[in-house]
Amino acid sequence: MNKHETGKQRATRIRLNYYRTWTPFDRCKAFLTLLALTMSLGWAAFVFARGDLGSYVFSRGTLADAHAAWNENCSVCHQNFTPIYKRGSGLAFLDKMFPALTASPDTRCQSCHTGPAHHDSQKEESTPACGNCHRDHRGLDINLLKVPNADCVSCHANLEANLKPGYSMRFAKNISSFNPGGNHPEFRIIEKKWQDPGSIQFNHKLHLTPGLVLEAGSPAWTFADIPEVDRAQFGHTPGLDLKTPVSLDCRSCHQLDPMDSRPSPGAYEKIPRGGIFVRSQGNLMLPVVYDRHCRACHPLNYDDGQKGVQAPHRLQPDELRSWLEGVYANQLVQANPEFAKPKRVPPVPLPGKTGQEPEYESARVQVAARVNLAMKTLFFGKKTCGECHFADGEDHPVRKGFTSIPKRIRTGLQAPAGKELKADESITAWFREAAGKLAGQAVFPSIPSTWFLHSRFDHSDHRFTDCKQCHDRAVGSVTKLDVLLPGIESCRVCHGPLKSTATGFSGGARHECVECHRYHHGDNQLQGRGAHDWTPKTLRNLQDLHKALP
Amino acid sequence: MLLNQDNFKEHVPWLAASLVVTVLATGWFFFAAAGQARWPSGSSIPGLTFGLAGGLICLFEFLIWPRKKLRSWRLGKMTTWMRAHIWLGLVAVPLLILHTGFRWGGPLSTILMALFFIVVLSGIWGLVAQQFLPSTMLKEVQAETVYSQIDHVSTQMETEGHKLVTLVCGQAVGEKSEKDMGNSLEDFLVVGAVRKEGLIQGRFVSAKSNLSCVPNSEPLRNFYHQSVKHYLLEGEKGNTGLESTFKARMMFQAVKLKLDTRAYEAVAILESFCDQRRQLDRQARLHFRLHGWLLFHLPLSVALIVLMFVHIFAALKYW
Repeated sequence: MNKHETGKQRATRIRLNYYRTWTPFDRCKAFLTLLALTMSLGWAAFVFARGDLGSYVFSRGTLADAHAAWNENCSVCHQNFTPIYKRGSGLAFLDKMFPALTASPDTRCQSCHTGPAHHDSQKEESTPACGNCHRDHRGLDINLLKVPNADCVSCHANLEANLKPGYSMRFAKNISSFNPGGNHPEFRIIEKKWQDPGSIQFNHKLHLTPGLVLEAGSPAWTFADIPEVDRAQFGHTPGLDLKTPVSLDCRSCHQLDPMDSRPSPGAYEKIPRGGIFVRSQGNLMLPVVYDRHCRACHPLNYDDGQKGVQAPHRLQPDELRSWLEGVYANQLVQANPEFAKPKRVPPVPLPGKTGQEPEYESARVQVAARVNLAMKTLFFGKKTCGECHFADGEDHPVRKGFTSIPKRIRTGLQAPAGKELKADESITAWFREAAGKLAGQAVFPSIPSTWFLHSRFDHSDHRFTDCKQCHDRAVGSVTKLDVLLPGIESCRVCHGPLKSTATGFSGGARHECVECHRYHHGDNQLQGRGAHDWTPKTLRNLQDLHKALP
Repeated sequence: MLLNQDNFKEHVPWLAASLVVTVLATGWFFFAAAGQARWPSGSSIPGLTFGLAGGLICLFEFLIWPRKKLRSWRLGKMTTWMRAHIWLGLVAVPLLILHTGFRWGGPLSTILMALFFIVVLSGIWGLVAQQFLPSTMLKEVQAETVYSQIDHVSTQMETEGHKLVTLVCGQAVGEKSEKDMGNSLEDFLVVGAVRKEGLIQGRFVSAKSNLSCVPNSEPLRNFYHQSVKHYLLEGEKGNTGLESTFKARMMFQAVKLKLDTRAYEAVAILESFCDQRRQLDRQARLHFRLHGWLLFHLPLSVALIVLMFVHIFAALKYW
């Protein structure tokens, strides 16, 4: 019971143990704290309990689409407590103290991906791990090949320092920028003034002149001179006068897609399926092929008496001779079926006899004479084999480097003064004699399909520009020796930092190293992505791969 | 105030040290980034260092909680702890931003960073609130008491009010007398009042005498039981109309008109009780503004610390 209130009680307006009491605010704070603790610990436990499936929450970002299947399976690429790429502290003693900093755990990457080494001359410590350049976890749409310049420049700014002892420099020592004024050198093929190693004589100026004539007053080459089936390919449209001079442009021969040849109706069916109509990626120009690009104006007619009959292309002289002998012998047999009947020939010729009937001997000479005449027509004739092809020789550029000029067949085929071509004389034997050391075989054209062996260029990406914008020297080139590639300045017009000039703007297009170069030579014609070096040593089962099993 | 002109000198070394650390860390970060394709990540050497430093700071920041709970251990002066808490917490912001390499990263690191920012921002809000609200409370709440004792003090006022009304109006019919209940009922009353002397103000105990029964003072009893009592016990939640100063004045004025002038003193005391209760309500509101940030700061700090350890483990595992 409450008795009389004491003075102390009256003076005590608050309880002395007030600090031990919990207010609703305190209770709320404690509840929220406990809730946060429980939730965070519970969430962590849940994540760890799920194992690899839960490890996605630790990911620093979504994987690129190529690796998206393993977004929730970290151990496919990561080894526990081992760095995914070389870090290096920059301090030798630290790197030595913690070897994990400089470890290069590429094993997991290379179980699926292999690729040739960049250069065997680079120092081990300068060779990055896969993850150093191909940084993943940056989103689904990230291109892992888009490596920033700094990754390349880290070595190429001072290449000598990153070279193994005993190796010599083959490339520019210091490259740090492609920008105008930067130290990216001129393309070597231009800088060293290399000559075209191809062994096909070709006059660009002649072919790019309307009517294909250089001398005034000479008759122009018109559509009437081209077989009807090929006219459309070279620009003839229905209703156009056949006397119109043919006017070729770059695309008449240099095409990115086989269908660009615009074959006339019916011509497509005549071409063997799977032959030349293989689709290209469009980055490189397709090879110039005689059947599509040359035959219309350069038919291999070999016999004036048999208009329209052409010899097959791609035959060496010996093969061509055999083919011609077959053709003429067949014609002779068809004209005189008696030759086809079997004759009894004594095993041992009678004394004073050759063993051959005179009419057979006459036929043989007749065929040989016609063959020789046809060979002469083909090799010496205008617009046929000798017009373009070279003979094989010991100094062929393929073996000696891109410096020497192969000799042309026609040079060696000039008959010595006063010497007549006899009917029974093998033109190929005569050709060998005249050509001296030459082997008498027509040289494979060897027209480079790729000029830049250490970089790439995609023609289809540049199709919006006039070819002559970059290949301007083609219009005036009269010899096959000219390399008609543009120099680096031509690229820098667009590829560089955007800046205003007196005439407007220049630059603005991408100009990173990887725009043209690939570290693993994926675009090198000798080490393309289909090369054996790109195939992993051990092939894997798809199900195992997806489950990250070894 | 945690920061004012008087104690700013004590903050200067912390401020200078924080700036130096920030500048050095930023310089190292950009030096390491020079010539690199990307900002140094959290696993780079500078990034790792910043992460380690930031993590240790977070742990230290968290220790202020046990420090407060274990006052008797006297682990350094609380003001020093608080200065360290403020400045190291602010230094952790640039360090941990540099640790991220300006990337949010995946789910865990994003959550961690979001928690960190909320904790820091709530802390800054608390710091700002500590700068202004105490002086506001001093001005506006002269009857300030210990926050946890507001209900207790209100009950006291209601008890005093009840005695006062009984003294002035007499025992109501059917109501047990104070003497019957064993309580004293003297002809004086001790009440809590608010007084200001110079710069000192506060609530004190005041004895009122000569309070005697006033005839025809039934309206006061009715008014007390209908409005004042509920307001004193429940405050704003009572919804009696007394929560408004102006309305309360009108209501008390109206009661006075019905009473003898001898009862006016009692009315004034009841009005004073209501005014004190109004101030206590105001105190409760200001208290929430002053400490409400802790409802975010503390729980999220706990979650931050737990997830930080998870992050450290995961980062080392999937390095």
